[in-house]
Amino acid sequence: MSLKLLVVEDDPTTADFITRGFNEEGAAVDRLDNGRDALAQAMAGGYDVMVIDRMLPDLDGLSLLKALRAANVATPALFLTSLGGVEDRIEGLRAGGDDYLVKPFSFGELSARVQALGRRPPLQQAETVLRAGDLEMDLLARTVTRAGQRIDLLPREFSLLEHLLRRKGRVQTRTMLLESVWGIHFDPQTNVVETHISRLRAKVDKPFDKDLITTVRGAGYRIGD
Amino acid sequence: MRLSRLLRSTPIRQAGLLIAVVAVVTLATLGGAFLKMRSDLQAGLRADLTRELAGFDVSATPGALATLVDARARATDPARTIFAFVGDDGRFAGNARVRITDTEVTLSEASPRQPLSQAGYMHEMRRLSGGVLIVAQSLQPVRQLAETFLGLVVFSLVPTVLISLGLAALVAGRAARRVEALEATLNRIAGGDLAARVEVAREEDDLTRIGRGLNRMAEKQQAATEALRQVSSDIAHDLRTPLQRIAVLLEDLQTHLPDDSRAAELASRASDEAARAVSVFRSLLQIAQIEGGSQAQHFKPFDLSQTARAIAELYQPMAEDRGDRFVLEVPERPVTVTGDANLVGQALSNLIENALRHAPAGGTLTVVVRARGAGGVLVVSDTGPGIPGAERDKVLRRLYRLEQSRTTPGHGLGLSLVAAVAALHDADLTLSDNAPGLRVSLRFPG
Repeated sequence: MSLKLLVVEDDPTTADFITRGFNEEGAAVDRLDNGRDALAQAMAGGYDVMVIDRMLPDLDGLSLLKALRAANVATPALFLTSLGGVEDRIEGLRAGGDDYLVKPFSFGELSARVQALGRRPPLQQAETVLRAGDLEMDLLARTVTRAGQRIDLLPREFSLLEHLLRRKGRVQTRTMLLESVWGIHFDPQTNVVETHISRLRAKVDKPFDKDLITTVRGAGYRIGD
Repeated sequence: MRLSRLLRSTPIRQAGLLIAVVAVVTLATLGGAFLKMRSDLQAGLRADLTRELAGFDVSATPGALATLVDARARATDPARTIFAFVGDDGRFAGNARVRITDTEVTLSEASPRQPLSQAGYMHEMRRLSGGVLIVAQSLQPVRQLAETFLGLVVFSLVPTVLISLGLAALVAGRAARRVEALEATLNRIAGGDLAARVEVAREEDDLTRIGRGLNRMAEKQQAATEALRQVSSDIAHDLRTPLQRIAVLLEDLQTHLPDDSRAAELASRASDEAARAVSVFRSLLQIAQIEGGSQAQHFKPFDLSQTARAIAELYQPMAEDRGDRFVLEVPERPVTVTGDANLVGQALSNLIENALRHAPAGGTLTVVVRARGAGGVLVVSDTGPGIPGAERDKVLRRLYRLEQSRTTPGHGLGLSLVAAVAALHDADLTLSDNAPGLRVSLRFPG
């Protein structure tokens, strides 16, 4: 992990926690507690991802990001907010935010989302085959094989697996999966994603020696080689 | 449509009633006067006839009588008065033909030069020596009287009615436009646009006062909603930051505790409780936001079938893993309703989760979408214990839970959110007995 992050958060406990978490993951974090300093710092550039709290002293998060976007700073930005309404989310995305996380959040969720923003794959040529270990997904024929054995998947299982394979090695949280695979923007009270993952595992991992799909405690799921 | 609305408006109804009263009174007065004058006139005519007949009484012989009648008849226009004598010997004299049968006397003209009155006649007949004498008076004066009165009615009442109706329509039209403006403003406020105001007219009348009252109410509501929004966003912020800290500290604590220790288990349980508090808090905020109604501004048409299919697909494996039968009945054709697809999806997801939570495993969970008129119906039913009739209204309240479900997970806000989403969409929410189980239907207007 060699991401360089700018964290703008005025609550010291939260800022500590975020900074420590990312440091443990090996990311370099610059930490600021107000919007004015952040504007200057972000203009200097060089960051992979910015994590910005919406309520900041001096210059609030929305205005900060608007100013940065106006100055052609395209660094991906994730808003942290204590406002959770649909309209606040739309407002944040409209100001140039790339993602949005409502407090309180777990570090796993934040980390997964920051990774997703920081490692957005460059526009690649359309891949036709995705691989993880001995698992192969042919996107044209819509077939999946593992160790040469054909695996039959339902359409939604296929798209879930495709989503994980395209982000191989990166944690995908339950809410991220709900948003991208099902297009759902609310938190169900029950862990529905778990059920889908275990069905997928039953087909993809169970008949084989090695598990490709792993659960990351307190965060989500990841597929690896 | 506009005309029928106009006809149902209060000023037109009142004007109509007044006009009807005036018309009845006028007609009664004129009618009474007419009847009195007609009976006087008829009595006069009858007296004239009697007098005329008396004049002939003196003649003794049929010949003399015939000559006398002939003389009078020649000097008289039969259109006014008819004199005729029919002798028993067939002798006839008079200015009109007369035919006498047992029951009636028929008069007809004697020659084309002497036409009879069109108004009819009143006659008197008397048997005198050697024949029958008939004197008839034209009813022309009576007819004239009737025509005069009819003229009076037409020239006095009809213009009165027409002018009143016209004025009433004019006034009603104006009032209707003002009432429409009031209605439109009320609808906009009900639709979530709290900035809507009525344009208050210059003249001071009841509608102006209602308009002012409406504006005052809207201002108060807007201020209250704004205050509520401010308070909830303050609470949201003030509560979320400490909740965030607790979550952070607990997560931190867990990493410092040896796995599988009693302390780690406690920290993990504390984490779960904090997460539960967050979940209740989020749901309460979201319900408050939905009830605020401002989301109605972002309403778009969407396919209810598609939403139901997506959500059902999400929960189907979970239901099947429990050993439930999951039935999805959705038409091929789109069922278009207007609203927020995400919120309706969330409401459906809450209903399915409720069924999964409260109905024992091994039952049947059914999700149905049907087109209904221009709108659509969404029905979720289970075969669980259901909700007793008396409790059905209460379960829509926030945080209300049935005694029997105190021990099952969930925070008692699922159905409140469904109710809030239903209200936002003007949809009818009905809880009924699925015999056995609970049946919840959401009927969206077109």
